[in-house]
Amino acid sequence: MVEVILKNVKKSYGPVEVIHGIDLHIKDQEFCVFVGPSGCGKSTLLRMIAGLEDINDGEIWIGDKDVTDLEPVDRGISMVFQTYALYPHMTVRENISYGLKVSKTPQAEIDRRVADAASNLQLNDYLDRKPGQLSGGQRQRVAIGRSIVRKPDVFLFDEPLSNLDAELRVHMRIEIARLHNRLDSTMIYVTHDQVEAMTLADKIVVLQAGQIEQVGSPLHLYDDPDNQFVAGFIGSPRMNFLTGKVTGVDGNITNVSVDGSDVALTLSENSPSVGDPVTVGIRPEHLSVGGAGAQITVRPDVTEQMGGVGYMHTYTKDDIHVVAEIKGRIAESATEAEQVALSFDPSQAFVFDASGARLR
Amino acid sequence: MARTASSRRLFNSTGKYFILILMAVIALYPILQMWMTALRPSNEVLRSPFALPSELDWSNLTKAWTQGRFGTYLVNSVIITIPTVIGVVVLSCLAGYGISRFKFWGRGIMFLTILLGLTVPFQSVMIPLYYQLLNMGLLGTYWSVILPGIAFGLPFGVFLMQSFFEDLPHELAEAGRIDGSSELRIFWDIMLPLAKPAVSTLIVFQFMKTWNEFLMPLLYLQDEDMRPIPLGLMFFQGAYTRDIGLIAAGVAISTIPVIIVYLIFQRQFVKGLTAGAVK
Ligand SMILES: Nc1ncnc2c1ncn2[C@@H]1O[C@H](COP(=O)(O)OP(=O)(O)OP(=O)(O)O)[C@@H](O)[C@H]1O
Ligand SMILES: [Mg+2]
Repeated sequence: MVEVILKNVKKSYGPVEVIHGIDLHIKDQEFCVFVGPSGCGKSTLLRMIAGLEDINDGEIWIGDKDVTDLEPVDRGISMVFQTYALYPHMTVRENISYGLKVSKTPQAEIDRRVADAASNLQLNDYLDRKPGQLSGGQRQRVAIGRSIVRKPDVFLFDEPLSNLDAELRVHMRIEIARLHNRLDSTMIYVTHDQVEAMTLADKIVVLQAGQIEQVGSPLHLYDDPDNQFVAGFIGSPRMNFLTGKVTGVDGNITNVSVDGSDVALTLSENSPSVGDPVTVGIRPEHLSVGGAGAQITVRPDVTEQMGGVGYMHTYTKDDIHVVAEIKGRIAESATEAEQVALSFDPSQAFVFDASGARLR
Repeated sequence: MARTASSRRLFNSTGKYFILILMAVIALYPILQMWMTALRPSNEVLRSPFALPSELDWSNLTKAWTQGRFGTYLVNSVIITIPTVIGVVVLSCLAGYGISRFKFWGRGIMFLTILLGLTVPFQSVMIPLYYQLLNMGLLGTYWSVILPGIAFGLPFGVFLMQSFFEDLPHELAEAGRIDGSSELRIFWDIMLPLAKPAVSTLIVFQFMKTWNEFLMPLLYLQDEDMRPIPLGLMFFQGAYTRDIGLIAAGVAISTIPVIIVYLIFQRQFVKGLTAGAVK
């Protein structure tokens, strides 16, 4: 059982606190993904778990050990860096086996593990090359090979695919998913790629400005975000946010005026008061041209036709950007019209108060 | 069109080669002239100084070696230069690496203090240093030029190595830590091999500087048997003012080690050694 537990972990650089007390429980064999905007502290948090950064407060537990003050090598972790950080003067074989050599593993065992890793990662033909003679994807595989031969309890990845081109990224993403299935180890993975987070994760941790916004499975975060930040961050294209005002409250039904039209929303837990400003969030795929439900009137701008789906970029009369995802083809009559009515089912809309907290 | 483009390219490369060859001739001619003078029979030296020697005459070289005692001077120079170069290179690598990698308290001040050494001319400290060496009982020993030689080499050496290590990707050291390497092994296994180009530059530079050092041995090594080559050359020049061939032979001998060292280490001035480390 190798769980990773963070207890009120804090980190400051000089007087500036960048991680503000994080509590997190990552279960055994879980694939946990940290996402968040650039500079929110994803890498810092990962490096603190790795032991590359000291922490100013709190505790880190890996398995049943308090590792807060242990060196990286004593934590049972390995890490794949965004820049790969391969040793350029060593061959692929030497790169992969360096850690084992340092820990004085018997040569026969080293050879066995290197051969194992090489065949799993299709590196057999490159073992005697230097990193400079490899392609980006091959380098990435060497970096992964270097981390698996040490048989760590926890794998750490810091944006491992961000230097690869789109096609290779998809390929390596699948390889990493396979690796996780095969090794059954706990993995912590930093990315700011939506798709990587949604497809790889068992659990996503959304960070903003050194704090956790929400933790949950990908679909849980998608279907039930706790706040406007998570709602906007998870999902691509991102959720549309319309401004509204509460016009009436009647039991569970809250009437909100959105863009001139009245929308009846069901809020059973919170009930705002009349006159409160709220934000109504609607995912692009929940909007359709024509159809039943609540309606907003928009001015079409650009359309992007992908074949299977199309994205219609539009503006409300307050110049709020609204994207609608349309299944199949978008009719020319809709794209060329002066004004189009987009409709949605109010039960699929999300409501947030002025501070961004979700109203349910 | 294609014709003019290719003829322009031809002219461009011809022009480039012309300039390169001209530079090479300017740089190499004095060396060639020196060797021709050294190998010329004595009677030809003044008669036809620029022609090719009619025959190769090794007598100047042997005479310089034996009578001029260039053999002794050469050994002295080696005894002084090798420990100085080793001292400067080892200390500069360690200090430069330490300052670039570890953010310890007082690191900035320490680095600046070392750099300040670049501005201290030897002439300004040579007399106090003389008395200090005298008090320490080192005056007149090889140590009296080796130790100050190391001290004067360090500012540049530390500066060079520090800026080189600073530019190496820090992730490499972190990868080493993740792999369980100790700090000393990270330095030795990972960072130092990558610093080869800088180390060779420092070796060549420090070797030439120490090899050609004149004032320091003149002041601190007064025993004739301990003189290094530049001093020997000066006394030799004084003694055989008229025999240009002999002097050329002395100079020629004294340059051989520098050329050898340069040829050995220039191969290491390879760029792009870190290619492939990080994207
Ligand atoms: N060595 C440092 N000194 C001072 N501040 C730092 C240092 N390293 C990181 N920071 C700050 O800490 C914050 C978090 O940085 P971090 O690298 O963890 O962000 P990130 O979420 O990984 O961003 P990105 O997605 O761009 O990689 C940033 O505001 C950054 O400026
Ligand atoms: Mg980062």
